[in-house]
Amino acid sequence: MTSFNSLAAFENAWRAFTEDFLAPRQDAWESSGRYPLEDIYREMGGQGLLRATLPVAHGGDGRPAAWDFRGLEILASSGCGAIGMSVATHQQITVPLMLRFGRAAVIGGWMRSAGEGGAIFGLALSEAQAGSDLAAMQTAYRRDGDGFLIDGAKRYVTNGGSAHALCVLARDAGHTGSAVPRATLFLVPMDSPGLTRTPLATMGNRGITAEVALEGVRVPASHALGGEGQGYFIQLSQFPRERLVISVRAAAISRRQLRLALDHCRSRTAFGTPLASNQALRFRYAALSAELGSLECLNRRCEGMLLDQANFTELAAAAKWRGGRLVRETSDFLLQVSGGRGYLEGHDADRAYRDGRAISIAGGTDEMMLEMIARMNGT
Amino acid sequence: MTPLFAFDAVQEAFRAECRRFLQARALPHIEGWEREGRIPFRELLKEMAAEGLLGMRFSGACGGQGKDIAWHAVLAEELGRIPCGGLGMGITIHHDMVAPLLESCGPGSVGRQALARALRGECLLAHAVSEAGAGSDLGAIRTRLDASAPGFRLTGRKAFVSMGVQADWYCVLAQGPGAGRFPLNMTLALVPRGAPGVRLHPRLATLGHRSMDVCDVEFEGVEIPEGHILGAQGMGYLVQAKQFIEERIISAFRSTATAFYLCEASWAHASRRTAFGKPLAEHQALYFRLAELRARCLLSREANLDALGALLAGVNVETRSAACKYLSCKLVREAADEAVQIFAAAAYVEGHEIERLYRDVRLLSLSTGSEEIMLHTLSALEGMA
Repeated sequence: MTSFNSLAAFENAWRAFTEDFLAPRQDAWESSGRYPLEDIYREMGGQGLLRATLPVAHGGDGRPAAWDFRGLEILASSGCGAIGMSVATHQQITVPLMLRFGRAAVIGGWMRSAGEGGAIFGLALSEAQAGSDLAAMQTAYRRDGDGFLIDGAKRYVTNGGSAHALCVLARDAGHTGSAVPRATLFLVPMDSPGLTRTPLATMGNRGITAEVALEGVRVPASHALGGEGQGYFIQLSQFPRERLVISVRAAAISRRQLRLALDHCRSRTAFGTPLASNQALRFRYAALSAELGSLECLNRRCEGMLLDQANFTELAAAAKWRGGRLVRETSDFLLQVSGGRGYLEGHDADRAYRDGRAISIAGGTDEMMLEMIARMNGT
Repeated sequence: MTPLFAFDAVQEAFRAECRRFLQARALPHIEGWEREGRIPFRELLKEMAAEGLLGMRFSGACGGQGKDIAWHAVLAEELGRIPCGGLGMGITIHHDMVAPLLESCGPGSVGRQALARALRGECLLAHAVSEAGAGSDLGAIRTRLDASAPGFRLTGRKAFVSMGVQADWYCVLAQGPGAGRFPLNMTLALVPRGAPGVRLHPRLATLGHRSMDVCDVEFEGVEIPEGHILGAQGMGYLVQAKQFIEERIISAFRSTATAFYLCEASWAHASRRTAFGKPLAEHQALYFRLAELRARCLLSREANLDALGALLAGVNVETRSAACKYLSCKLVREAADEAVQIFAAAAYVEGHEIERLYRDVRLLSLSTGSEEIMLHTLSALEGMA
């Protein structure tokens, strides 16, 4: 099994993976509309990229979470939004949740397998009629002997098509009358009878999203993460981390867009001078770069607070909000300076423009971030 | 990844001292200062010195406290929370623009003596750089310093000198001596207000900073002894440019703090004031804008702290300095505009604190490097040119 002695070595391995494995195959996957996540995760697992931060008890090296953040940044810099989003969801959002709230006997095998790239996870929250407003969800569970039966349908499930297990949020069918339903987060193996998945064609981050239908899917009681009725609490507790993960990706993606835009502006000539000599473009670039610098600082602050187990709820919401906006602005700038070529399908600018748009929606919309900040400041 | 800089508990205790002092000694007098068009800077600075609120970053040999610039950032944030732009601007000019230029003078020099007195609040330092035809473009400065044995002679007119009426010393950036090529053709000179040939033009009425005595200062062949040259002859622009980099970080702390102040004041008002049956703060369009403003304040402050941390670590901070100055001054004027919108007609009446801040903060995007100069600098530093 591959272990890394230093963060630098780990980062080099991520770079090698993106340059040698992802980059040459990415365009073909992208145009086929499907990423072979199982093969890609096996490759990452084989190179040791997925086990460094797993606890020693689960076959990992127990490295700090910061290692995975750096990996995510490198992945984001590669321009492959789909894999960036997939790995963020699996490694940085779902695995930490399972580790924290799952019973050792239930998650042990999964974790060991995840470290090797043999298990992929995802989080199934949204539904057709319940996005930001999770309380409106219809997926429900009821007791069935020593376990639970789940019925419903989840949408926009990242990794949904390839995952081996999903964390599924469901409401207690027997609990009615209160505005906020009683909810439980279940770890559901994807080979459970009654479970079907249908790939969703998406604008960006193509080939990793699915719809998942559950018809009388049975899970043992031990699969209720954190115990029955803890679903909302678990969700709330993981929000700051999830938002930081997305914001870290947003910053790295924006950094990449600006780098590509800069390279293009320096090399492309119009009216006899490089694009970069146009003051309007220079100022727009500088303004975006300054905004991005501040986002990177805020992310660093949040990362430090995550490490110190401090409360960074408001800062994470601010970072996620800014990240979503900034990716849209930097992607738009990249497309604008790229001109007609950037508008061709498959061009970096085209893909960046489509992929990046998800950041303002997934993991809490921009609007939910503003609601959160407002409620913490006197509204 | 190195952790982002944060103030420590001792610095936070110092913050409480600054706040207590400013609330007691500045807050009650703002309206009077605005009416009179003058802040009694020397008196205030003397009291600040007595309470240990001056000279933190300067060495003991210079009459300072031997700490570092982080303490000035704390003071700058507290000045930023006093709704009087003139006060913060004046103290920054004295304490963070001119005083650091004097520190580089040799022991026993005129500059060092002025610095020691300035840090006791016994003399007031002003900065005379801009001219009618030279603002951001310092290369266009026409004020000249010419050799005139045994010293030099200063001729020209400086515009918009803050504290120009009451300052004891002007730190003047001039062309010369000789005819070197820009940027090696400029020199900084320290000129006492009372020197023969120094002539003050009438006070200027300004959009904001009405408590500030602003005027043009004319130098009509003023004799400048050699000891009044700051740094080396011909190096004035470079010394000035380096000082700007540090001062912009301090100004950014002040601007962001004012933006926080405006955001908090707006939210407090929006929570009290009702319209259409509920508080303004529960109208979504309003609280979304306030939330965005709050998020941008948080982002801006982290950029300031990062620049400060890098400066303390001895890293080149040109990019960070320009970025945090740009972000903070843009933010604060948008915050002021938002505050006027929330406070509405009340803030349109002269004398209202928000009305004053709306006018005052506008200067931050113009002085010590306009927003455009920050963007120009940033794009050049990143190779977008």
